[in-house]
Amino acid sequence: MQNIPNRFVFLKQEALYTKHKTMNETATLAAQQVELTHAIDTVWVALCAALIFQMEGGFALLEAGFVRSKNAISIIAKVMIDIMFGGVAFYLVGFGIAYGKSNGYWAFDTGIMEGDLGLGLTISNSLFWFIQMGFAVAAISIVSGGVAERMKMWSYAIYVAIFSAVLYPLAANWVWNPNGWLALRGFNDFAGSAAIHAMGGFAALAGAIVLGPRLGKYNEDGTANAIPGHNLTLSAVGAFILWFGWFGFNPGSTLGAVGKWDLIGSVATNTFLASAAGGIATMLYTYLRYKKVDITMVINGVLAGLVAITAGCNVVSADSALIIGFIAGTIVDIAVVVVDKMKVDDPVGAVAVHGVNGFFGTIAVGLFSQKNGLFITGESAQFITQLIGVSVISLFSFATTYALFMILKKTMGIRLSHKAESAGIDAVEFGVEAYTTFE
Amino acid sequence: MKKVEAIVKPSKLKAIQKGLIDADIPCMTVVPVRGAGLQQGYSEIYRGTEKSMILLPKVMIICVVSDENLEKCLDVILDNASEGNVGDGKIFVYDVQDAIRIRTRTRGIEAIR
Repeated sequence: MQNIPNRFVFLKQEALYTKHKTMNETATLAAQQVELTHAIDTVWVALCAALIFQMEGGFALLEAGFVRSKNAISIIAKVMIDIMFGGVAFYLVGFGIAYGKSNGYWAFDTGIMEGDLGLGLTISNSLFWFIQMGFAVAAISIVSGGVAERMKMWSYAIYVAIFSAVLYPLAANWVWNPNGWLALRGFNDFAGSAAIHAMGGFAALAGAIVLGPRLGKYNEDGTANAIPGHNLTLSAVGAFILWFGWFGFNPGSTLGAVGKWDLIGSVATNTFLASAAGGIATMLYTYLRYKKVDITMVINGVLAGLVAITAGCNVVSADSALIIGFIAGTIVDIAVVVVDKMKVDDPVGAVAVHGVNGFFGTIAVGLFSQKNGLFITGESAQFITQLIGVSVISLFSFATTYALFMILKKTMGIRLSHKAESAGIDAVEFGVEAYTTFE
Repeated sequence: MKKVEAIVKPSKLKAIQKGLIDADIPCMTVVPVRGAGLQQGYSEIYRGTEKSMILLPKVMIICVVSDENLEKCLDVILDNASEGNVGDGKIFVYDVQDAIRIRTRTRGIEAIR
């Protein structure tokens, strides 16, 4: 018993130890602290990157449920193309354009650069690449919904590669590169309402316009027909996966946990509140307007709230997040009908959810930011910066995608034959059906 | 032999099945179908656009019965399918030329006993 030191003796030894620590030991402790910071931040970002990556499964299920059963496989293939072609293109070229030495507008590097990117990262460049790749393929996956049920697979693959290698990285360069022209202006797009969602949404708009509507979507007198999705249960599962993944998308954009644990908390809370408010707004809207709750629209409303809070979840209060979500959930209902009226056939609502609410979410930062929002502090400078940034990105995305689709249309063709479209892409391009019968 | 095709509300299936079992004419084939009667389907709003001429989900119960069991079978279906409302369904009766039990190759009325 005498050999075991009691607590008092132990504490005394500790104190002595601390007192006589040499400079060398202090340096070792500091090094250990740096190592621990890197380790903790790496665990957090790797986890969030995986959450972001699995959102692709959400996109696939959501879109597959919203299209007709004869085209379910084609949409799965499109999302796989997003990941595979988009991910490799973002490795070979895209990451270098986005995060290389920027002149404010672009950069020329390839692969995953070594050395300091100027972002104050506490994670490795390769992990940073991986989480950014998740964002890049999320942006392109938005387009896959807008061009669903009528686009040729190989033309789409080429577009995906160009979008992920050049178009998206340019927007990311402006917004997130330390030397990007929008970054230098103080543009706040925390996790990408503008650079990812407006970028993808307006690309989907351009793609859907050039492709034209699906057969049977519009009558000769110009009225629209509803083409209902074949499996709303699948769509709902997809929406839940996206919803879940968003808690990697936004909180993971802190790019670290040490010193940012407080921020992670408010980002996660804001993300949830905006999404719930978006869903509530859509429930109320569809119930009051159409007398029945349209659950496909509620799904879009939740996603609209998520998209809208993505830019400002680091700078707005929880109450503002509720308001932003509620507005987003209302805008999306109107936008779906307006897009339909414009004779643009967007089968899954990509333009209304990602384009319109990416735009709204970005300017909402200028309205609701605790630091410099117009409604909170009365300053308008941030609002103007947000408006300029998201307008340029949206126009850029629309114009470049429009041009690319026109070039592809003139060269290899983008639209399936009427015969293939009526028979279903799955049977014609893939030789299978999603739901085989008889055993 | 008669073939009875009853197109009824899906919610009535269990009761009709039980009734037919109790009446000792339990053999049936059931197919999920969609259709419209004189009301020509109905309309809903889907994502802000009217979806018209929606066909209602029904089930079609197909029974082949002997001539003497026909009225009993029809009574069971009528008693269990009727709510007295539009949309209760329809029953069609056809003559059957022959029936074959695959296992034993028995033909005619013996095949459905």
